[in-house]
Amino acid sequence: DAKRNDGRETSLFRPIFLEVGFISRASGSAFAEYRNSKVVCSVSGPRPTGAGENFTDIGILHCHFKYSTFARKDCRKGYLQDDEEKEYSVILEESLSSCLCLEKYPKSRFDCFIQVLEDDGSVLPASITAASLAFADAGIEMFDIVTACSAALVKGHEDKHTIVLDPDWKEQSNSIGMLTLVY
Amino acid sequence: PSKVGPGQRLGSIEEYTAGDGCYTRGNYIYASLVGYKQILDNEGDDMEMKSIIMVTRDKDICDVPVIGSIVICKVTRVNTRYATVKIMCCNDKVLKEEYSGIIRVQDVRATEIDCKVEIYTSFRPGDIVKAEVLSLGDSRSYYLTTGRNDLGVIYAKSESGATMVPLSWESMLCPKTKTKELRKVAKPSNP
Repeated sequence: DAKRNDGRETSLFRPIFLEVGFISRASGSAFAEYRNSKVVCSVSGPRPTGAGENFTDIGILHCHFKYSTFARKDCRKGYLQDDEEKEYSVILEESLSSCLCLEKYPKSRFDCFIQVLEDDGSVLPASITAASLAFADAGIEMFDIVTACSAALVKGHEDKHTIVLDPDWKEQSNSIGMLTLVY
Repeated sequence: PSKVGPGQRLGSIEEYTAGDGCYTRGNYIYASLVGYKQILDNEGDDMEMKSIIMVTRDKDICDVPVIGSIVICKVTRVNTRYATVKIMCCNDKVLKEEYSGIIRVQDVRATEIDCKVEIYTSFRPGDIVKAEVLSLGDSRSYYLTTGRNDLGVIYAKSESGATMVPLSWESMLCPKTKTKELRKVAKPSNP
């Protein structure tokens, strides 16, 4: 088994730290830290849908994923969402809306804000896990807690490729392919 | 009481019924909240009724008005056809944000819905009203009713600004000016 640059086995996760309920203003909040990757999630709701929106007999979920401007080492992210962040927002909505009991919240909306403080790889799985914990902290009824992890196919010496779990930033940048699983 | 989380299996539907904070899937009852598992034993005479499993939380559970909820609301606008209200509390829990509702003129009283009931003799802007949710309504507001003895105005200020005292189901008295004002008053519940 080839060892990775931080000494981990290929199927070993980095140490994880999770904390909930630290944003007093929000309905629910969660902080996930996968060694250096840090993600903050804040959930607000249930709130009434605005007068301009259509009638719904189930709750609506809106997710907003955003990197902080200082989160990435290679580039400086802008203040508005770019395409990558919009795609991650949609992925978050799809992952979370199937696990929330939305039919118990008619005419209501939930807003989930993800702020990435530092990106050292596997930011999307950390966000999904943090969002799910934030909803649990807010007391919103759910069918189950959603967890996520990602795996990357990393180029090795002499065309020997290895599959690694929970890739960090270097492995993610050098990967040929990546898969994120949400369960 | 044991701590449970969403998705944790609590019992089978053969032995228990699902209460608050739980859902049923297949033959089992699962938790849908983070909290403590509690079992309420059935005290009734009905031997068929099973014990109820529920999950309770230390923090407040967010509630959303559904059909049949008793809500406390404040009248914001009054019209010949309906009164517009802001729903502030639902089932004795204060809501984080106010929902909109309307009480239509035909839903103010249980009787006399065909004759002309004037909204202005039932509610005025600023009154606090206890109502029941009739339906989810449209995108803008819930439809509420006060057509029961225990529903209606529970607190109102008179035109001179003093808190009024209820006299009957249809009038309240201002203690400062001693004038009667017409309202659809809720019957006070026994303490």
